[in-house]
Amino acid sequence: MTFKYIFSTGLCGLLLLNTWSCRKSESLNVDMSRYVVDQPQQTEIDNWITANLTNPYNIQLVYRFERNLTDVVKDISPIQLERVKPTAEAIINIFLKTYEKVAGPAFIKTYTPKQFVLYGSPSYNSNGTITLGTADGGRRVVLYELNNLDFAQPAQVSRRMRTIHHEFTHILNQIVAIPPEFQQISKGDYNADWTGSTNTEQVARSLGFVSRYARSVYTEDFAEVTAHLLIEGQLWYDSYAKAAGPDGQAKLKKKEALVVEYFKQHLNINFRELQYEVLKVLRDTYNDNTKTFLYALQNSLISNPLMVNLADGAHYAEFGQSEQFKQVWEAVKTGLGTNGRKPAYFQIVFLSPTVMQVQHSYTNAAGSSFSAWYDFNITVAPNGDITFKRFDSGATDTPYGNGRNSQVLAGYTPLINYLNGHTFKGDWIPASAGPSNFLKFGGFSVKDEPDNYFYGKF
Amino acid sequence: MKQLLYILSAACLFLSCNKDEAKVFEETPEERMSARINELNSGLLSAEHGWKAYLTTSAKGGYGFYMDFDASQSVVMVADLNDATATERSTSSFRIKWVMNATLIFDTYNYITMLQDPSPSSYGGASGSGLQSDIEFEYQRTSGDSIILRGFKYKNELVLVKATAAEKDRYLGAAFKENIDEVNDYFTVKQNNYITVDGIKNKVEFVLDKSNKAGKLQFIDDNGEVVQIPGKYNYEDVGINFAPYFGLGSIIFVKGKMENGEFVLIAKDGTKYVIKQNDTPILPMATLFNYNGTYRELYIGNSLPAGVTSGFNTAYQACVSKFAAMNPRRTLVDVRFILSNSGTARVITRNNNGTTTFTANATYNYTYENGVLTLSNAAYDDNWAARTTQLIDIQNYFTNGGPFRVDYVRSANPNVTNLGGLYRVADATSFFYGSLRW
Repeated sequence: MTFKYIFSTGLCGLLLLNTWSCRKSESLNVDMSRYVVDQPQQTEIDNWITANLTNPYNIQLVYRFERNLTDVVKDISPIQLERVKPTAEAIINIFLKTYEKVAGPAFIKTYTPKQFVLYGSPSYNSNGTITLGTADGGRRVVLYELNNLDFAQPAQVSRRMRTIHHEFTHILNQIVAIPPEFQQISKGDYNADWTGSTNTEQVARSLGFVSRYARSVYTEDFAEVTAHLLIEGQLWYDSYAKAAGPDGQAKLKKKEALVVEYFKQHLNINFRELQYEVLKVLRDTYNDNTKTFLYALQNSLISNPLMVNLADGAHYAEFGQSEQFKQVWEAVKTGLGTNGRKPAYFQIVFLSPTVMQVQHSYTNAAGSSFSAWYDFNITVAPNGDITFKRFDSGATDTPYGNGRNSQVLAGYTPLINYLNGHTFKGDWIPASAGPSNFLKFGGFSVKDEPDNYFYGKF
Repeated sequence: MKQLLYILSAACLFLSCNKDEAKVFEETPEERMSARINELNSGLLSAEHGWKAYLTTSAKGGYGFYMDFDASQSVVMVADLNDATATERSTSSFRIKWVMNATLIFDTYNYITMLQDPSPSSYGGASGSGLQSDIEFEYQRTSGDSIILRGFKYKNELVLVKATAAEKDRYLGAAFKENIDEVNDYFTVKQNNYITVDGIKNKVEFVLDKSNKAGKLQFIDDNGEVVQIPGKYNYEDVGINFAPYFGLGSIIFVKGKMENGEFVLIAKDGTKYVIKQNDTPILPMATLFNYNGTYRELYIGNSLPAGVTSGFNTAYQACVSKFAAMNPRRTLVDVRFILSNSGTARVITRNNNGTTTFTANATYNYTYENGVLTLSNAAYDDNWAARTTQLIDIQNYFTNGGPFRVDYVRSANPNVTNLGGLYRVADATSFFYGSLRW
C-alpha cells in the first residue's frame, strides 16, 4: 500500500515535471533585419509625395501596384508614372485644401482617409458596370481608371474628384450617422438593382435622385447628393432639380437642405462656403468653364430671374453701381414721367439660351402697379460677346400689351436702345464679394467699358 | 489495468521531450528568401545591354519586348505591340517582392501592362480581362543567359534573354520596327505559303495571323485528314520568334526571318525551311469548308466580288434589278450561304427598303460527300415567301441547280482573294461564290 502510494505520488510528480520539462524558453532565432519581403526604392516622386501629402496630412499615397489593396480576383492595371503627380495635386487642391480652408486643419488631419491607392484601369464588375472608387473603413480610398484621365479636360477631372468627395462623404457618415429624416425622403424608391433598364436617368431624376447610382441605397444617395452639390455646383443642382418635376424637385431640395444641415450641425462646416471653394479651384486651377456665367446662360442653368432694382438693395450700397447705367435709368424715369408714370424695377427672365424677357414694373399717375414686358434675342459670339436684339413675338399677354402702349414704349426706349446698342459681357459678381454672395448676383457690363454695367440679384 | 496506465504514463515521459532540432534546409527561411530575391535582383541587373523578352498571352498570341532594368527600380522598354511601342521608349518602375516566391512586379504602367489592361480600349481583348496577361511574375529559374519567370494568374512564361550590344542598338534604333514592317509586308503580299517537310507527302501550309500574333501549320496527312498546329509568335530585332513547342513531330520551329528576299523558318537543330508560294490555296476547300470547319460561310456583300465570270452573275443581277424595280425601291444588302449545322444549310438574303432591313431565309437539308454538296427539302420563311418574285432567280439557282462541287474561286483582280464557290456539277462555268468566312 505504502509503496504503491509512493509510487503513484512519484509518478504524478514526474508527470508534472514532464510538463515543466517541455517548457523551453528559447527565443525564436529570426533575424528580422533579413526578413525583407519588399524593398521599394525612394524616388523623386516619392519625395514629393512625402513633402506634400505625407508630412502635412499624414496620408500615404500608394501608386505602385499592390494586389492586396484591391479586389484580388480582378485584373487591374497600375497607374502610369507620369499621372501620379497630377492626380495627387488634384486630390490636394480639390479635396484636401478645400476642406482645410473651410473646416480647418484639425478637421482635415483627423478625418481624412489615411491611405489613397491609385490604379490605372477601371475595376470591372460582373454586372457590366465599372467601379471608379471605393472607401474602406474610413481609412482608405481607392481610385481607379486614372490612366485615361486628361487633366486638360475639366469635366474628366471633376468626375474623378466627385468620386473622392463621394467616398469621403461615406467616411464622414461613419463618424456621424446620416440623419434618419434623410432615409425617409425616398424610402420606397431605393432599388439595389440600380443598373436595371427600368432605372433610366429620367426615372431616377423624376423620383428625386441626383443620379442613377443614388437610387441604390440611401447611404449612396447621401454621398451622391453631397458630391454633386460640391463638384457639379449649386446652379447645376437647381436646374437638375427643376427639370425633375415638382415632386422630384421637392425631394432633391429637401435632400440638399439635410446635407447642408448635416455639415453645419454635426461637423460645423459651412457647406455653402465649401461649395464655393471647390468651385473656385475647379474654375481657376482646372479651367472648368461650366461654372461661368456664360455657360450657365447657354445651358439654361439660370432658373431664377435677375432682379434689378436700383432703388432697393443693400448690395448697391456695398458694391456700388454704374453711373452710366444710372443715366439710362434716369432717362427712362424722365420719359415715363411725362405721362405721370414711374418705373419701379425690372427683372430679367432667361426663357432659353437665346431669349430673355425683360419684365418692367411701373406705376401710373394714380399709383396703381402695372407690368410691361419686352422680349430680346440673345446672341453669344464664340469669344463670349453678348448682344441683345428686341423683338415682338406678338404675344397677347396683358404685360406685352402694356409694353406696346406708345407712351410706355417711348418711356422705356432709352433702356431698350441701351440693350440693343451695345455689346456686353456677362458675369457673376466678382469673387471678391465673398462666398456668401457668389452666384447670387450677376449682370452685364458693356464690353471694354468696365464702368458701364448693370447687375442685380437672382 | 492500473499498472498498464502507469507503464503508459512512464513511456510518455521518454517521448514527451523527444524534440527534433534538425533543419530540413541549411539556412533559415529568411535567409533563403533573401537569397532568392537577391538572385533575381542581381540577375536582372546583370545584363549589361538589357534583355530580349518574350511573353505569350492567354487570349491572343505572343509579344516581344526589349527591357533594361536598373538598380533604382526603373525599367525601359520597347515592344512589338504597335508602331508607337516599337519606336518610343517607355519608362516605368518595377520591384521584386516576396509573394510565396521571389516575384517581379511591373508596378507602374508600361507596354507590358497593355496586355494585362482589363479595358479593351487600351489594347483590345475582353472587358475585364484584356488579353489575359500578367504584371506579376514568379521567378522560376535562371538558365544560361536566360531568366524564366511565370505569370501569377494566367501562368504564361516571361522569358528574358541577355541581349548583345548590337541587339540593343537594333531594338532602340529604327531596326526593330523596320523588321516588323518587313515581315508584315512579306506576309501581306505572299499568299498560299508553304514548306515541304521530309516524311510529309503534302505541302505544309504556313499561316501567319498578324492581328492575333499567331502562326499555324496545316496540311493533309496520309489519311486525308486535315492536321492543324497552332502556335504563337513575336517579333524580334531580326525576324520572329515562336513560343515553345511549335512544330511537326521532332521538328520544332524556333525562329523565322527574311533571308535574301525569302522567308525561312528555322528549326531548333538549325535546319532552315524556305517558304514557297503556291498558285492556289494549299488545302482543298472541301477540307476547310464545313459547318465545324475553318470556314462555313460564303458571303456576298452589297455587290458581287470583282473579277469573276460565272453563270450565277446573271441570277444575282436579275435579283438586284427586281428589287430595284419595287416601289419604294429596294436594295439587296447581302447574300450568304451557310452550313448551319451537320444537316442544315441556309441561304440568307437581306434587303432594304430605305428604312428597314428585312432578312429572308431559305433552308435546305444537305449531304456533303467527297466535296460535293447536295441540297434537298427546300423551305422558305415568310419574308422569303413574300419576296419570291424578287428572289426567284437565286431561289432556282440553289433549289434546282445542284449538286454542287466545293472549290476555290480565282478572281482576275489580284486584290480580290479568299473566294470560295459552289460549282454546278453539271456545268463548271456556273457557280455561286463569295468570301470564305466562319
